[in-house]
Amino acid sequence: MAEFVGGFGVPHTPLLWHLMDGEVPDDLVPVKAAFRRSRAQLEAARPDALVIVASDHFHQYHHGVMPAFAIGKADHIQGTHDNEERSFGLPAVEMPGHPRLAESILGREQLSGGFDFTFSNAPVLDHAYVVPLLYLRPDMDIPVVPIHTNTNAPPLPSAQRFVDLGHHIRAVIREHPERIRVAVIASGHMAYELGGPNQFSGRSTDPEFDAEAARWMGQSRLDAAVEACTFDRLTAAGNLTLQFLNFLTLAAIAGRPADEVAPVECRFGNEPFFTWEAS
Amino acid sequence: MSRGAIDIALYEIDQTNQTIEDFTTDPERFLAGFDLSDDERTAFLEWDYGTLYALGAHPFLLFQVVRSLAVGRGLSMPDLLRQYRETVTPHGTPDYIT
Repeated sequence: MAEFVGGFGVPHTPLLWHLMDGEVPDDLVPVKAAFRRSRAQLEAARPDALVIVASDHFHQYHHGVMPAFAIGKADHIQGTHDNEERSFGLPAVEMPGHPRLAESILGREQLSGGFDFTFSNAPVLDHAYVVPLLYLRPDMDIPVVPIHTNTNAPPLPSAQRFVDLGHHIRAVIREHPERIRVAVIASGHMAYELGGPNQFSGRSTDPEFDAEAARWMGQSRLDAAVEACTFDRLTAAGNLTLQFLNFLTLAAIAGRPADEVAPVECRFGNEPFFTWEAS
Repeated sequence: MSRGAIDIALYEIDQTNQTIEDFTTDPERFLAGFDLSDDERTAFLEWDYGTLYALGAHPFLLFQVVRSLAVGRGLSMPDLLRQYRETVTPHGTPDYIT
């Protein structure tokens, strides 16, 4: 039986890596501090494995093939793609995988939990995974199970399905045969736009959505979140707001209100920071 | 309608420095294998990214490529962001579902 020892909902905005290297601009000082706090909390949780729920941004998965949910099952995992090194200065990274936990989530002979998962035995992670790890666990020494969710190329899984995925992972953690400590990281955005008319406006593209989203996390109101998080509502808040769905999976894994709901307002809108400590 | 082909072409352009150079130096050859309509192909060849946006290119992929190509063309980031906003704003938020 494994144990859930912490959940961390964090941003992955790749421009942060360059901007927070060296002298940090005033508005990003609290972002760096929030990452530092999450890093200490993760360290204190002493996890043996990390499940990371995030959305590949047209790197490993793209319009040539786009799985709804894909589990990375491998001994060794690579991170960062050529164009992310070029565009964002992100380093190429390597980390251990946790194929046994991946198998519990995925299934062995048959797929597990009523999910028709895709799998990859050669996962290559993009900034949605690498940026959180660079701040939360820069040594990248804890074995990882990466879970890709399609929040970028419709048709997407429904919000309910993101919650169901969380319930599945929650059950898997309880039933996994090893006595290991499992922490979960999810990355994504609150209201956010990229590539549309409102990108880089210097503020949230929908403060009302952000306030509501913070309440869902802080009060564990997943039914309300599922009802509200339709494709139209999320994209009205900015096209990448769809990535908020990853936090529904995290909240469902935790199964209770977040201990800390502390989004940081900065040039990228409200950067999400939601934390669950060990139960 | 071949929005999927637009998005796959954008994805392929942005892969490496070499693919960016290949597209920049000989876009016709680069695009030969992609199942694009005439309008879409012309927009790529003329690098009329406002039209690609209006035709439903995925905004994330489009901006990444605009940014990658702008770096080689010496455009500063503030100028690029201003130009991009002015270019796409008249088109609103087109359907980008493939």
